Amino acid sequence: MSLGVRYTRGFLLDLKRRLSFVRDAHELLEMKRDQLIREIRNAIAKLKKIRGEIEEEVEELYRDLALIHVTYGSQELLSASWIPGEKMELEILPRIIMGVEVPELKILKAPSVGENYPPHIIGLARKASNLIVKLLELAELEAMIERIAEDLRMTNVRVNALEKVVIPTYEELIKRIGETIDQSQLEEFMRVKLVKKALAKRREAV
Amino acid sequence: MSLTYLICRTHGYASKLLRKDLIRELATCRSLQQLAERLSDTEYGPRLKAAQTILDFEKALAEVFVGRLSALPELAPSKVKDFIKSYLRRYEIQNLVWIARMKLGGASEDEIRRMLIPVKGVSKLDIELLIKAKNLSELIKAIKKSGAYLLPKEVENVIDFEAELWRSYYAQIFKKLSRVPVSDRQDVKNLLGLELDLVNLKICMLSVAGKLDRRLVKKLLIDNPAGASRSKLIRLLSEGDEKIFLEHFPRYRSFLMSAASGDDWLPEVEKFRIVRRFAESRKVSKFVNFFYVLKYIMDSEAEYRDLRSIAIAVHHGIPPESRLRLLVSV
Repeated sequence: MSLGVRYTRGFLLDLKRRLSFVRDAHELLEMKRDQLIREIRNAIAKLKKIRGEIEEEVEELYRDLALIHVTYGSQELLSASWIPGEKMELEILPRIIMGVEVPELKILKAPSVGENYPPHIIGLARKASNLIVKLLELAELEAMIERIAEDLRMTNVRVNALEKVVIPTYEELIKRIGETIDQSQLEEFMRVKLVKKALAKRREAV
Repeated sequence: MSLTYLICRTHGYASKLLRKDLIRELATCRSLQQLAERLSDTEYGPRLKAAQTILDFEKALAEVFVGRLSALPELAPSKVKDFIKSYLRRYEIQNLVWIARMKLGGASEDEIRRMLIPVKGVSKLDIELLIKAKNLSELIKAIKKSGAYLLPKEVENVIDFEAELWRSYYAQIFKKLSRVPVSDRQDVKNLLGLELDLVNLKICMLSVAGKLDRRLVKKLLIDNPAGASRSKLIRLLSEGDEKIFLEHFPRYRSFLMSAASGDDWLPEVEKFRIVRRFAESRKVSKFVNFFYVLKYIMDSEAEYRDLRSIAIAVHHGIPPESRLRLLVSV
C-alpha cells in the first residue's frame, strides 16, 4: 500500500482523518455483511421449503405421467404434448437489497393449458403448468441467493482487508510517524537547550 | 367366405394369444432386452429384435396387433366384413386425433407418420392426404369431403373434433349392427352400450371432480342407444355429486370408484377390464358364434395394451409388484 509517506504533523493529521474514515467504512461494511447474512438465511429457509414442496410435486407429477404413459401409450402422450398451451407472460424487474441488484419475477399471465387437452391428460397438464409457477419462484430465489452470496463474499473480503490490512497499516504508520515526529521534536528541544546553554556561557565569558 | 369359416379361423388365431401366466411372468422383466428375449419365441420375436427404444418397442407391438386384426375382414363374408371394418375404425380415429393434435402444434409430416398405427386395411380415408394437410381446418375439410365421418359445420377445437369423430363412429357402428347375425346382435349391442356408458361416465366423473368444464362435458357426451341416455347423464351431472352416479349405476361401481379416486389412468384400465369381463361372461353355448370374433379382437387389444404397459412400466422403472394393477388381462 503506497501512501507517499511524509513524516510531518500535517500528514499525521491527514492519516488520522483517513483512519477514522476507514474505521467508519469498516463498521458500515460489517453492518452490511450482517444484514446480507440475515437476508441470505431467510432466503435459504424459504428456498428449502419451496424446494421440498417442488420435489414432492415433481415426484407426484412424474408418477402420474408414468402411469398415464403406461395406460395410454406414447402416441397419446406425445401427440398431446404438441397441443399448444396458452403462453405465459412475465416481467423481470430489478430489486435492490443492501445495494445488491436481484431479479424479481412478475407473472403477468399465468400459464394455462387451455381447452384442447384430452380429459384424461388435462389434470396432468394443469399440474405441470402450476409447477412452472413454483419453479419460477424457485429460480427467482436461487438467483437472489446467488447474487447476495457473491456480494457477501466481496463484502467479507473488504471487511477482512480493512480489518487485517488497511487499519493495522494505518495504525502502524500513524504510530511510526508520531514516534518520528516526537523524536525529532525532542532532538530539536535538546538542540535549542544546548544552544541556549552555549549562548549563556558565551554571555558570561564576555 | 362364410361366417363359420371366419369364426373357425378366429378360434385358431385365439390359440396364438399369449397365456395369462406368461403375461404375468413378463411383468417381472427388469429391462426391455429381457422382455424382448422372453418374447423371442412368440409372434413378436422377429419384430422386437431391432427395437432399441421404447417407441420402437411400441411400434413393433402395434404392428403385430394390427397385423392380427387386418386378417379378419379379409376372411369375413361381406355383411360381417362391413361391421368388422366399422368396428376396427376406432384405431383410425385414434390416428386422426393424433394427426389433429400434431397439426395444431405444427409437427412435421415425418413426425406425424412415425406416430400412427398402420390401419390402412380398414380405413376409408387417404391418411397420406390428411398428413399433408396444412392445418387443422384443412384436415377437417378433407375428412368432411371423404364422407367417412359425419362432422358438423363448426368444429371449435381438437376436443370438439375428437368428440365429433367418436360420435360419428358410434352412430355408424350402431347402424351397422344390422350386419351382425341376429343371434348375436343383442350381445354386441349390449357390449357397445356398456363401452359407451363407461366412456360417458368417465367424462361425468371428471366433471364432478372439477377437472372438466361443465360446458365441455355436454359436448363430449355421446348418445348411447344401448345404455344410459345423454340427457339422463346431464341431469345427474347437475346434482354435482358422485354418489348420485353410484346410486344410479351400481353395476359400474368399481369403475366409478376408480374414477373418483383421482387417478386419471385408473378408469381407463378399469373400463377395459369391465368390457372384457362382460365379453367373457357372454361365453356362448355354441362353438360357432360371431361373438368369438369380437372377443378375439378385444383379447388381442388387451394383449397389445398389456405388453405395451409392461414395456413402458419397465422403461419408467415402475416396480414389478406394481405393474400387475396396470394390466387389463390378468
